[in-house]
Order: sequence, then C-alpha cells, then structure tokens
Amino acid sequence: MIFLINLINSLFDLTFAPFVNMNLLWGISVVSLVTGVVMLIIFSYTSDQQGIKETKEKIKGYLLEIRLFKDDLQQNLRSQKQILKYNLLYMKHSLKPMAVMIIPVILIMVQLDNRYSMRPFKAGEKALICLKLADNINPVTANIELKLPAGVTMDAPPLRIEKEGEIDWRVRVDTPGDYDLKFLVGNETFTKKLVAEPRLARLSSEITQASLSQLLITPGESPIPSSTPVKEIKVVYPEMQIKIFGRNIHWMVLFFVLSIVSAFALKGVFKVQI
Amino acid sequence: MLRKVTVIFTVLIVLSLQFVPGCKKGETTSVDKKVLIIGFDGMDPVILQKLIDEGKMPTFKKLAEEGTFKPLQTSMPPQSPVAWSNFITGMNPGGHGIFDFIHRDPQTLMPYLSTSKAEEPKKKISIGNWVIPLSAGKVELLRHGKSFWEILEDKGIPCTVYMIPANFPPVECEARTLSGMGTPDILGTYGTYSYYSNVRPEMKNDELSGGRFYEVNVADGRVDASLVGPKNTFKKDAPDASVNFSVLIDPQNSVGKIVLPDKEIFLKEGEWSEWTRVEFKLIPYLQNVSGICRFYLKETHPDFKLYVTPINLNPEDPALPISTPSGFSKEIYENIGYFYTQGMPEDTKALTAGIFTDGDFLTQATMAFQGELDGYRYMLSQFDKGLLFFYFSSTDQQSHMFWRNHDSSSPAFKEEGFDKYGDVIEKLYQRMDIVLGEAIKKVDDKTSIYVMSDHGFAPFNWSFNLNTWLLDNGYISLIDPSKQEEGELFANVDWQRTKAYGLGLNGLYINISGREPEGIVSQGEEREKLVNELVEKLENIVDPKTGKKVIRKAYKREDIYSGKYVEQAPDIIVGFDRGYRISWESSLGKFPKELVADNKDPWSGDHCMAYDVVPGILLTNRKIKTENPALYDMAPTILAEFGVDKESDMVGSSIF
Repeated sequence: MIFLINLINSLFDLTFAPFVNMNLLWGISVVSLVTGVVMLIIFSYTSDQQGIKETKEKIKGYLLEIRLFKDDLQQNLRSQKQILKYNLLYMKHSLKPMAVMIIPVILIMVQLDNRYSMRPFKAGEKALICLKLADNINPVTANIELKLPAGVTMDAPPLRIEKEGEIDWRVRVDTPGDYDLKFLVGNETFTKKLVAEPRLARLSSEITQASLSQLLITPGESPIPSSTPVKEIKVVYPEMQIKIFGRNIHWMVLFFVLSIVSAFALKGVFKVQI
Repeated sequence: MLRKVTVIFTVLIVLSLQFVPGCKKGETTSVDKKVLIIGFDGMDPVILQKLIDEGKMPTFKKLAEEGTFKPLQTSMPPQSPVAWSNFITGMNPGGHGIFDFIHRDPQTLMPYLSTSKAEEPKKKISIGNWVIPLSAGKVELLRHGKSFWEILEDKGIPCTVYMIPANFPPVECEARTLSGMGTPDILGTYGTYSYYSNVRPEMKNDELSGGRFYEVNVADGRVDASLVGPKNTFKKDAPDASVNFSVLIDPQNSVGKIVLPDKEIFLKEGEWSEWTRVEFKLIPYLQNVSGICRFYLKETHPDFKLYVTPINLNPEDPALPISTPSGFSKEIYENIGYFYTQGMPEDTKALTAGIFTDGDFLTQATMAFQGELDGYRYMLSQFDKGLLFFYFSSTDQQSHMFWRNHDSSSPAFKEEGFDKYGDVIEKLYQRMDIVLGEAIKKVDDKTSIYVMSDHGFAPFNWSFNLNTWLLDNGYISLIDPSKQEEGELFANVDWQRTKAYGLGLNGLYINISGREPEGIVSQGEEREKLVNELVEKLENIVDPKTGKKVIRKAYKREDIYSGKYVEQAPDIIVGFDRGYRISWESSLGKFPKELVADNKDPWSGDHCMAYDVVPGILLTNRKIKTENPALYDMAPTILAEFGVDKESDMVGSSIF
C-alpha cells in the first residue's frame, strides 16, 4: 500500500514539477483542466450515454410543453411531474459514473490539498511544532530534545503540557530550505520535515503512528513506527492564499469551477452526453 | 466547436491576467486631476514648526517651502468629532449638529455618544427561549450635512476616504469609504478590552476603566476562560454570546499556548499574537457573528495576566456597516490582512487603568499605526484619479498619553518617564515625515497635496470641575448635599432648584423650562440674562493654586454657531485656557469636592480648550491666499479643486 501511495505521489510530483516555481494558478489550472477531460472520458465509458441522451430530450420536451401550454394549469402540473421524474432518472444514470469517478477525484483532491491548503514557511517566519507522547510518558520529566538543523533556530523555550502529554516548540526559519527536524526521545530519534522554500511544495502537517487513513490523507512522509513513545508530530504551516483579482479563492472552488467548465466545454469534442 | 474553444481560451486568458505582474485597472487615467489629503489627528503646529526648524522633518519642510504651512483654525470646541465634521461638511457645529463627544437627551438628560445611534428591531416575537426579530434594527449617523465626497461623486469624481472620523455608519454613497473614529467594537462600545488574571487589579467602583476584568484560576498549568462577545438578541434576556478558550502554561518556562476552538497560539511572556478571528454563535448553524482580536500574554509566572484587545468588527464580514461599498472593507483585508476597525484603536483606557505600562501602550499603539500604514500604502498603490483622503490617529492618541513624559510642567512628569519616553512624540512626528515622503514619491506633479490636522495639542495639567463650580456658586442644588461626591449622571441633583449644568467636555446647558424635564429658567430674557451672567463669571475664574485664568473664553452659542441645529447646542461652550481642561468626573455629571485638581493621569495632553489655544496644521503644495484658513474652508476648497461649486449651507470658502 505504501508503495502505491508513493507511486501516486511521484506521479503527481512529476505533474506539478513544471509549475513549482511559477504562479500558483498555473499548476491548479492545468490539473483542473486535465481532470475535467479525464472525468469526461471516464463518464463516457461508465455511463449509459443513450439513456442520458433520451432522458435529456424528454426533459427538454416537457420544458417546451410548459412554454406551449402555459395557460393550462393541469397540463403544466403534469409536465412538471414528468420533469421531476426524468430528473430523478437522470440522476440515476449519473450514479454509476459518479461512483467510479469519486476514487480518482479524491486522490487528486488529496494531492491538491497537500499543495494548496498550506504553504511553505518564508524566511523569518515562526513555526509551531507539537509533539504528542504516549500516555505513560510525562513531558515535564522525560528526556526530550528537539535538534534543529542550521537555518532554523529555537524562538522560545519549550511548552510542556503535562495533562496532554505534549511538548510544543516555536522555531524561526532563518534561511529557506527543506529541513529535517530531529526529536530525541530517550534513546530514540524521530524525524519530521519542515519545508521553507519559496515554491509550490507537497506538505504534510503531521505524522502519526502508521494507519492507512492517515497515510492517504497526509502522504509524503514516513509514519511514526508503532509502539514508540511518540504518538504524533505536527508542524503548523501557514494557510495558503490564492488571489484572483485581489480576492482570496479557496483552491477547491477553483478546482471545481475549472474542471467543470473544461468538461462542459469539451463534451462536444469527445462526443459525450453529460 | 469554435464556441467551445473560445470558452476555454477566455477562461485561460482571464486566469493568465493574474500571472502578469503590475496589470491593474485604471492605470491609463493618470492625466486626471488628483487631490491627496493626509489627515494627522492632533498634529500640533508649534511642535511641527520646532521640528522643522531643527531639521528633523525634511519632507514637511520641503512641502512648506514649495507651498504653504499655516496654522489651521479648528472648531469650537476643538474635539475630533466636531472638528472633522467641520472639515467634512464645510459647516460649523450649528450646521452639522455635532457639538461634543457627548450629547444629552433633553427629555431624560441621559448622555449619549454624539455621532451615531443604534436601534434594536422594533417588532419581535418570542418562542420559548428564542426571540425572532420581525423588523431590522438600524444604526444611524447623527451628523447632518452633505459630505464633500458625496458632492464629488455626484459629479463623477471618484473618491476614496479612509477611516475618516464622524462617519459611522458610513453615509450611503458611491465613494469608497471606511469609517473611522466613532466606529464601535463588537460590543457596540468605543473599545472594551478584556483582562484575565488570578490577581485583581485596582479598580474604581469595582469596574475597570474601559475594560472588563475576569478573575481566573490557574490549575495544573491551565486557565479556562471565555471571550465575551455581543448580546445574543435572538435569545430571551439577551445573554452574552461567548467563545471559550484555554491557556496552557509551562510549569517553569515563561510561555503559554492559547487554545481557541479552531486555532492555537503560542506566545512568550510579554508577546502579542497576530489578529485572530473568533466566531460567536447566535443561532446554531444559522447565525454567527465574527470578530477579530489580539492576545497579549503579559505574565505567566508568578501571576497569570492576559490582555485581549477589544473585539473589533471583522472587516471580512462586518456585523455593522463600516464601509461603502460594503465590500470595500473586505477588499482592504484581502490586501493588507486584518486591521483595527474600531474607531480609536490605541487603548488609552488600559494605560489609564494600569493594565498597560507605558511600554505596553507604546507597543500596542505602534501596532495600530502599522495597520494604518499598511492601509495607507495599499491606498496609495490604488490612487490613480480623483480624491484620496487618508487618516492617521496615532499623533492624537500618543500625544494624549505621552505628553507628561516630555513636558516637565505636567504634574504627572517623572524623570524616569522622560528618560525612556520623552522623545516618543518627536519620533512619531518624524515617522509621519516618512509617511508623507512615501506619498510625495507616489503622486505626480499635477496632484494637489494637503497635509492637515483637526486641532493641535496643549498640556492638560489641571482638571476643572465645572459642575462643582456651578454647585459652589448656587447654580446647582443637590438633594442631599452630604452625598456630594456620590452617584453619577446628576443622580443627586435637585432639578427644581438648578439653573445650569455642565455635560460633555466643553458644554454648559441652562435648565430651560419646556426643554429640560424639570426646567426652571424661561426662554428669552431670563435665559439671556443668565447666560450673560455665567459667561462673565466663567471668564473670571482664577485657579486658587496657580493664580492663572482657568477659562480663556466662554462662548454663547448664538455668537459662534449658524445653521439648522444651533438650538441643539449647549447654551455656553466653555473654552479652557492652556493647561486646563474639564475633569473626567464633571463631564459626566459628578461633583468632586476640589474645584481644580492636579492631573496626574497618563492622559496628560489635550485639546478640549479654547479653539485659539490649539489650532491644527495645514500644509499644501500651493500658495494659500486666505490669511486664517479654517477647517470649514476645507470642503469648499476641495470642491473648488475639481471645479465644483460649494453648497449653499457651507460657511467656509476656498483658501486659494
């Protein structure tokens, strides 16, 4: 499974590679447009194209009926009932392709989320690092140390929260770079990445003890081995802001709008009924 | 097919416009007339001239040499809402109806803030614990008169007016405006901070001035508390809406983490957080109100002390109107981040109450100034035609609080304060020189530049208890004279034996029959005689300690005001002499025993005096022809710059 996830990551890394140093909108636009096309192709193979065509024509016909017989209330209500019926049928036709498409869409969204929901730190920015310990370890008395690489400095003394079994550090990024933070807990060492590059990057906020769902949601870093004194390590990255005409737009809005627009715009080219 | 390809290309072109640097709308119109006005609240001509002479303000000096630098006659009284209303409307207070920070309802004698009024929905129904409004509530701007930007926009001249005082809620118009002084926080007050500690601070009458104290327990390195937000008027008895938060503290290290429902903030002792958005839930899943605040972890050990700024209206989604068009505040937020939307952002009350040290206040005031500066730079980058007005509050608020540190005549002067903060005002003025320099670099030669202030500054060394003087001289009678110093808002006043009373910072009212609920002085001759008598006596009051005249001039309203609202003005406007001002207690109807008291408060500089004691400044890059330009001349002058005639009710005229 880890191999598969790593493979997907590598594929997307490759896809985004041309855009990492460009304006944020390039990468998301191209991926959204390509997603629209891929969805269109999946839709054409997994849906009942003839059924969809007939259903749409029926709906058009009943809409025309409403316009033609607008003074006949009974006819109007009958037409609306038919429109509702065929709308439900249309939705039924869409269920199968939706069920198939949801898998690649989720994978793409996870990849986009890892790149567009958070941004790498800038030089001079401060980062909050949280380490959660196993229940039987007291953070106040335990021998725990955060080893920082050159380019990152400690900005405040650690905050030890006994009841939560947690230690927090605040560090400052002095120079851009991809860093490995090393946590010494007793005799064991744990590593967590901290990215501070002025480019688009795949970021994982937290690593936890291995679980499939966690691997899917935050791919990219090795999980913490199970049965160790550390449960979770988190780096709180700043929120990414994507601006269009001075307005912040969430990446998900942009993704859906662009992929849907491209799918609708190209449905004729691929001769697909949507 | 062609149509579809066109759609795709259109989307790509729209997006690609984002990738092209420096492509902004309206850049081709730089040939149009431009007027830039920078308003520095409370910048004083004497201090400015001294710094210019010392070569410490080179940009101001250059502008003064190329154009003109003159004192600018302020309003009477020289209070910011009054003065800026003169500026906005080209009228005096008789025309725009703002006479003081505080007005009173003549029917109830209850004071209210002069520039705006909020009303709850009139129709509501109750269902169980829930209250459903059937009509909208409203907030009303009480300033009358047309603003110069409304007139300009009517003529098609684009205007941007940033944080101007006395314009909340912003008057409906086409111009881009952001309201300034007078804009409340989320509680509807002019700024109420929160202070959380396990140690009670010293408080007068169990209340913290301008803030709320919450006593908290520190247990196992954890403090649990709530941020108190607006009243939830959707619930019976309108309880406070609140957001719970915790602060986790290290057992030894001086650090803490504030844990909010959706955010964690790590702070060292003595450190401020960034702006934080908080959501107050009024109706679950349906109605939220959001605000923004900053946390200041003042101390973790041995005592816990946490200050939270007043919860400001969120410019992204303000609960009350703060800008025109309504999305303008969001546009500013999206370009500069969160900023103080509250009218007077510097927390002078926290310093007065001892929650802030001078250093804390200076840090907080500097943060407020930085927010203004970010907005200023953004607005300058957008300024390509028409009018841009930009307002800075720091010069006023820091002069109020740091005057005592540079003026050894202040009863609150301390050598230690002089050493540490004696140059704060001077440094601030020098910072404004840089601010002006940024604008001059940005604009072209055809832009008219005005640099102005609404009033100047003077020491506030002695507090005068006007109501005590009226009491001592038989114009006020108390129900129970043994309780002279108790109660407030005239609670102990025997109105049937009272002829006059003081309210606000410069106002003196006659207890007129038919106007006041228990008035005893009749309109006409009796009032006239009493006003003359009071004017004469007031102007002859001498401070027994110093032998100085307390009041430079007492003005009869009819002599200085004109317009539709003269009748609503105080009967006499008291113009204090340099060094004197009304006491805080007397301005809200209290009767301290002492007639004149040394002012040892941090609030040690002021301007609520006679108008000729504290003129403002005016610098332009043109030669001014008028001998004594006044604030109410500014609106006609700005209109004339664009070739627009002044309105008939404007009392001022162009200075050129």
